[in-house]
Amino acid sequence: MIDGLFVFDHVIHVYDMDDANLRADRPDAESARVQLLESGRRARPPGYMADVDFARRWTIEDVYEMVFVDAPTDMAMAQVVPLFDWYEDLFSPISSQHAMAAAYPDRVLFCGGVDPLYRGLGDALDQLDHQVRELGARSIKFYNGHLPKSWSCDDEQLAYPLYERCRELGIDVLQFHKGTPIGLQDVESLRPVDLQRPARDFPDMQFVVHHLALPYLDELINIASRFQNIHVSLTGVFNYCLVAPRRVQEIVGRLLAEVGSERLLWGSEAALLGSPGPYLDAFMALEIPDDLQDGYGYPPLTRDDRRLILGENFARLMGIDPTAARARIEENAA
Amino acid sequence: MSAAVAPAPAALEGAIARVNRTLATHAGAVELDSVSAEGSVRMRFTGMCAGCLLRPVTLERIVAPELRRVAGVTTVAAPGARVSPQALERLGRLPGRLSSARQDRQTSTEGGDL
Repeated sequence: MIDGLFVFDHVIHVYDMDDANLRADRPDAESARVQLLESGRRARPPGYMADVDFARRWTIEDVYEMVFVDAPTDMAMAQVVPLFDWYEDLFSPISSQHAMAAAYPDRVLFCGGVDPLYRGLGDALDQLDHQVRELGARSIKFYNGHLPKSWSCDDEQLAYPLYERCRELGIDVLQFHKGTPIGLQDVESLRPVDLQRPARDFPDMQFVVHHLALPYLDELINIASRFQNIHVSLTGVFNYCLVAPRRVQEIVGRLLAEVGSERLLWGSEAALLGSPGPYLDAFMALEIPDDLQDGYGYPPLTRDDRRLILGENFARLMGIDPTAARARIEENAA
Repeated sequence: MSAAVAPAPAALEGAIARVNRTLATHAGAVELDSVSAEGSVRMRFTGMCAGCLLRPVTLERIVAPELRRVAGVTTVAAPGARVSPQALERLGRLPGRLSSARQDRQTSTEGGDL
């Protein structure tokens, strides 16, 4: 907990960016890995964890220490990233995320991931069955931008069967990497606009959009302000509190005003972006300055906002009582 | 602070219907999301109001004043309509048929933190 507030980090990854996991048949694999590692380095404070080699197969112990020992995190979700383009076993593999949840069941939930272009729709559906029924996935992650071909999240032939299967399996929180391509895919393949039809057609399901869909922030805010089942993941945003606080103030202020704090979610992207500790501190210190309140009408960031964003919103989506969860953690630690 | 009188559902429905007759001119509407034991009313914008940048104006000038006339309502809030104290002050200075809004607001919108 931080300042008495429950912290539920809704996205951490046990990465595998080791040489052995890079696809030998893809000449662009190394450049894609370098791009990802560089984006992580830029989002960390200068010199922070400078001696750590991020291009490796992370262990669950590494990530546990980073998230739960070096930071006041209560719970987290370990997410698969179904990005197969450059990695043999995805760069945030199913087995590693599941192992993390299995090792720390009172603190970590498993988010599976599938892709209809990986080994076909049939395999993706089978994987959904496996990841939910056998591995206990509580949510599913999608990444629809690929090379040479992407798929669209409103594709009734490729995407809707996945959502329908999730619904049958009792999964109602679907998560989407949007914007911020990991590699040189066409950025427009990751626009958030293709989530509008699914949000309309699956009103009982919740759609979480990651990375502010940058550079499509305007589109995302418009969509999230109209669809009550669209949630905005703040993954990576607070990392810039240390680098470009004004930019974070503008983004958070606008989200508070136009979307509301009840659909904003804290996510750290550890391990790539380092321990969440410094970013949690930065978020607790973050204020919406007077000139933004005056000139843009952005509301102040209150303790209630922080409480919702840091943990209670995602706990609500997962059906978890933060007080009971905290008590269970303390009981197991005793 | 507890409400002296819990808002009566029928009275709230009537107020919302009156508001929606106005909002319908823009193909928009509001619907009731929840009412707390303290009389905090949470609304949700729908139709053309959903996502509109002028939701704070609509809430402060049209929706909230009408709902605050219902006994027991203490605050009125809606996602996407929350603005800074400075913006509220400016909205309160607007002339118009709902000139009681400012006075109402001073006792009611501080809890509208969505």
